[in-house]
Amino acid sequence: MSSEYTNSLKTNRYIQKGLFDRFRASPAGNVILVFLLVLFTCSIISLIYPDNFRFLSKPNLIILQRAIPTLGIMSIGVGILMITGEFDLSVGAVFGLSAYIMAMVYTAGMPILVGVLAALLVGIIFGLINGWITTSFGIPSFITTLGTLFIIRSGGRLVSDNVPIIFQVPDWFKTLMTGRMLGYIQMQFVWFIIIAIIAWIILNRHTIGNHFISVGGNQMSSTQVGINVKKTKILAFVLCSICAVIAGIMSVIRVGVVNTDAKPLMELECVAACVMGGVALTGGRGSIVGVAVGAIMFHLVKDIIILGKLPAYYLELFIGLVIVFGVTLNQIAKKKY
Amino acid sequence: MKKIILNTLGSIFFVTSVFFVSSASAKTDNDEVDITLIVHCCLGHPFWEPLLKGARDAAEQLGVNVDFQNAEFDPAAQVNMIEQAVANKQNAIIPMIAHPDAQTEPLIKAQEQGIVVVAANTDHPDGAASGTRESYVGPNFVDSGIVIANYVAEQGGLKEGDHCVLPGVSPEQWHIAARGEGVLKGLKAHGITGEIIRSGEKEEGAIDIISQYLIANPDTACAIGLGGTATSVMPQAIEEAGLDLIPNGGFDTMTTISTNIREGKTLATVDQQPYWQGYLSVIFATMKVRYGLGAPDFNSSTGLITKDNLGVVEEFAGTYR
Amino acid sequence: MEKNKKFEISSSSNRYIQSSKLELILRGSYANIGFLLLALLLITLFATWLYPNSFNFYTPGNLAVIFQHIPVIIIMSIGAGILMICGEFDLSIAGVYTLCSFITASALNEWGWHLSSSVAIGFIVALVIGLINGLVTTRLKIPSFIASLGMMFFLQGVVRWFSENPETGVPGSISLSPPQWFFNLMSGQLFGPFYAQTLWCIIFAIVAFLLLNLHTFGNHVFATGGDKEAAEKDGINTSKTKIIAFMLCSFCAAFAGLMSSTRVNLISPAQTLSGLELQAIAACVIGGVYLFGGRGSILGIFFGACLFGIVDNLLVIIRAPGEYMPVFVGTILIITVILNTNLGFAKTRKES
Repeated sequence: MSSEYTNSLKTNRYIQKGLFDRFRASPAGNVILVFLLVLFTCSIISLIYPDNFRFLSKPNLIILQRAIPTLGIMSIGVGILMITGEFDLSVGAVFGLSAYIMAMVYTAGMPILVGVLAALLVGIIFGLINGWITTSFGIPSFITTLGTLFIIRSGGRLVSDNVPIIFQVPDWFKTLMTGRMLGYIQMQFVWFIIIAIIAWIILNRHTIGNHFISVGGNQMSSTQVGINVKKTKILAFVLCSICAVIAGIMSVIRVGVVNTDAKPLMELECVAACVMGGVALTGGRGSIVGVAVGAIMFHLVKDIIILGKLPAYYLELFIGLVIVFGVTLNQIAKKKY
Repeated sequence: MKKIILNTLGSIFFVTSVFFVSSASAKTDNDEVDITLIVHCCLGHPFWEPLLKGARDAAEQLGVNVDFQNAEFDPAAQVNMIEQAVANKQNAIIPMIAHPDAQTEPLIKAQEQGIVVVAANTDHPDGAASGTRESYVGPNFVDSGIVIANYVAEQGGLKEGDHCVLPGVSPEQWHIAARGEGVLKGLKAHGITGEIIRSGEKEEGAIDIISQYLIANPDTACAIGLGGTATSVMPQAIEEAGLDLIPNGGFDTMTTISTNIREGKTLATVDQQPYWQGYLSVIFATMKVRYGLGAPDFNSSTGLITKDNLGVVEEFAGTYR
Repeated sequence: MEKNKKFEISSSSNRYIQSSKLELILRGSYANIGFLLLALLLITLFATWLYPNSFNFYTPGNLAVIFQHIPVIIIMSIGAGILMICGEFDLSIAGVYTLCSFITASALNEWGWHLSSSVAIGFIVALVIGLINGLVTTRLKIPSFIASLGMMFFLQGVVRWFSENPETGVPGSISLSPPQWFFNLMSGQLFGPFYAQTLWCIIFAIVAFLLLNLHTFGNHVFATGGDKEAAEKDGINTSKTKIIAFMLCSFCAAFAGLMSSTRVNLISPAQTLSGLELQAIAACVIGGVYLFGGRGSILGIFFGACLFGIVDNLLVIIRAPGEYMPVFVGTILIITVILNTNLGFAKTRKES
C-alpha cells in the first residue's frame, strides 16, 4: 500500500519517498489536502468580504458544527463496514426507528438513559440481523440491507402508528448532547471527534481493526490466517448500526420531533462521504480521518453553495458534481502514488 | 443444518403465500362496497395519517372495505393501480389526480364501467368539466398559496421589494409546485419576490439549509414553507441563523406547527384538513354506490389556522387534524 | 465455463461423464429464478381455481396492466443487467428515464420539432449521459456506484431546471401527445392482453441475448466483469466495453421511459424520485446476476424482472395494505435472493 520506498525511474534504484508523497499516498491524504485548501480559501474570502460570504460568521460555524456530526458519525459507521467489504443501506431507517423508540420509552416515563439503551438495543438487533443474514446465506449485503431498509421503514409504522412524537429531553442531557461550550463549540461536534478518535483507535490500534481491514481486503486469505470472517463482519454491521443510533439520538434532540418515515438517500450520502474520504468500495482500504473529512467536505460544499448564493433550488446538481470531483482527486492520487 | 432451514423457509414461503393470497382475495363479498384509495406519493409520511384515519373511520361506520395503495410519484404506477382496481371490480376509486394527463383516460374508462370516482386531495385542473370524477374533496393548492402569501405579507408588515424564501421538501412534487405557484403569485401582487429552495425530507436537513440560506441572505423578509416539514422547522432555523424572528407561515398542521402558532412564533398555516379528505370521499363514494346520491365538490380547507382559531388543533394533530 | 462443458467429473467414479442437455439447462444461472417464477404462477393459478370470483389476477384488465407495465421494468433491467455483468452500476437510470422523455415531449410540443427528431434527441441525450458515466468511470477511475450517484443528483437538478414553467416559476409535468401511429407503435394493443410493449421487451431480450451470447461483445462483457486484468491481458479493451455497456444501459432506460410516457401520456418531474434504479438492480440480482460482475444471463434478468413485477402487481390485486407494501417487497426480496442463491441448482454464490 504505502511503501516507503519507490522505484526511481531514473536510476532504477529504490529511493525513499518523501513525507509529502507518503501523505498523499495514504487513503485520507488527498481529501485532507483539498479540505485544507477549501477551508483556507473560504476563510480568506470570508475575511475579505465579510458581508457577502458569511463563512466565518458565528451562526454559520455553529450550524456547520451541528449539521456535520449526523452525517459524520453515520459515515464513520458505514466506513468501518465498507472497509470490511460490506454495505448497509438500512442505516437511515435504523437512525429513524431507534430514535423513535428512545422517544417512546422516554415519554412513557422512563429515565432518558433507559431510552438511550433501548435505542442502542434496537440498533444492535438490526445490525445482528443484517450481519447474520448476509454471512449465513451468502447474499450480497447490498440486497440484504435493501430488504431490511424496506422492512424497517414500514415496520416502523407498526410501532409508531405514524404519529410523530414531540418531546424535550431533560436539560442536562440536552446540554450534554447538543449544548454549546465556550460560545463557539457545539457538543455534537465534540462527540463527533470523540467517536472518530475511538473508531481510529479500534481500526488502527486494536486487533479487530486489523481483522476488519484484512477481511475487506481478501476474505479467503483472512480465513486461511484464522480470522473468523463471519464474526468480524457481524461485528462491523453492529458497529455501523450503533453509529447510526447515536447519530439519530443527536439529530432528534436537536429537532425535538421524531417520526419513523425515512428515506434511503441518507446511506448513499454516507457512502459518498466515505469514498470521498478514500475508502475503497471493494473494501480493505480506508481511514477514519478520511471519512470524517469526507463528511465535513460534504456539508462544507452545501454550505458554500448556499452562502455563495448559487441557486439553492438546484442543490443536487452541484452536489453531484462535487461528489464526482472529490472522488476523482482521490483516484488520481491512488494511481499516481 | 442450513439445508433444513432453507427447505423449511421455502415451504413456509410457499404455504403462506398460498394462504395469504387466497384469504386476502376471499375477503370481498358481492354485497359489500369495495373502495380503493390511491395516494399519489409517500404513503409513510405522517401527513397522510389524518386522511387515512378519516377513510378508516368512515369505512367502519358505513361498513365498507377500503384499501390503500401508494403510487410513489410514478404516473405509470397510478394508471396501473386504477386499471387494477377496475379489474378487481371495485365499486369505487378515490384517486388523487396529481397527474391529470395520465389519469384522465383510465378514470373515464373506469366510470364507463360503472365505477364511482371521487377525487381526494388533488383535483383535475378542469374540475368537474373533465368528467374524470363525480366530486372532489380537498383544497385548492394554488388558491391557498395566495391566501397564506397575502396573510403573511399583511400581518408581517412586508413592503414592496422585499424578498422571501420558500423552502419545500422537493420542488418537483406536484403539490409543492402548485403551492409554490400560488405563493409566488400572491407575493407578486404585493411586489415581493420569492425564491423556492429545496429543503429536503428530513427536518434536520431542512433546518440546516434554511438557516444557511438566512445566514447568506440576512435581509430576507419572510419565510413561507411549502409543506409541513419545512414549515415546522422554520422558527428553529431562524433562531439558529442568529436572526430575529421574521414573519413565517406555511402549510399543514403538524403538532410542532400548532405549538409554534400558539407561542406566536409562526403566523399562520394553511389547514387543508386531510381528515375530511379521507372521511368525506369514502362517504360520498359509498352513498353514490349504494343509493345513487350525488355530492358536491367540497373544499376541505376552511382557511388559515392562526393564533385566534387554534382551538383543539394541537390536541388532535396527527389523528384528526 | 460450465455452460460449454458437456463433460464433467462424476463424483462417484472420478471419470468424465456426459451431462444431459436437461441437466445443463437446470444448471444455468436462470434456473433457480425460473423455478421460483413457476412456483409463483402455480400459486396464482391455484388461487384463481379456489376463488374464481374474487381473485382477479387473470382478468383482461389486470393482464393488460401486467403486459404493459412489466416490459418497462424488463427493458430497464436488461440495460442495468448487462452493465452489472460488466461489473458496474448505474444509479442514474431513473433520471435518464425521466429526462429523455421530457426532452422528447418538449421538442415535440413546445419547440415544434418533427416526431422523429424529437425521439432522436431524447435518445441522443441518453447516449451522451451513458457516455459521460462511462468516461467518468473508466478515465477518472471513479467507482461507478459513486459516479452514477453523482449523475443521479445532477439529473434531478437538471430535470427540475428543465421542467420549470416560465410563467409560474415551478416545475411542471408535460404531456407527450404523440401522433396515433406512434402511440400504436409504442403501446398499442396487439391482440387480447398483448401490447406493443410486450413485443418490444421480447425484441430487446432476444437482441440482448444474441449480443451477450453470440457476439464478441458479449464475451468481452463477461470477461471484463469476471476479471478485468485478465481481460486486458487478453487484449480486450475493457474501457470501450464498459462505455458501450453504460450507453446501452442509458439507452434502455430512455426507451423504457418513452414506452411508459407514451402509454400514460405524461412525464412528471417527480418521476426521478420513484426509485426505479433500485428496482432494476433488485430484479437483476434476483435474476442471478452477480453484484460484482462476471456472471448472469438475459433469461435470468427477464425472469427476475418478471418476478418482481408480478409480485408488485399481485400485492395490489389482493388489496394488500399499501402502508406495508415496502415490508412485503423487502421480505420477498430477501427470501427470493436467499432461495436463489442457496437452492443448489446453480451455484450463483461466489465461492469464498
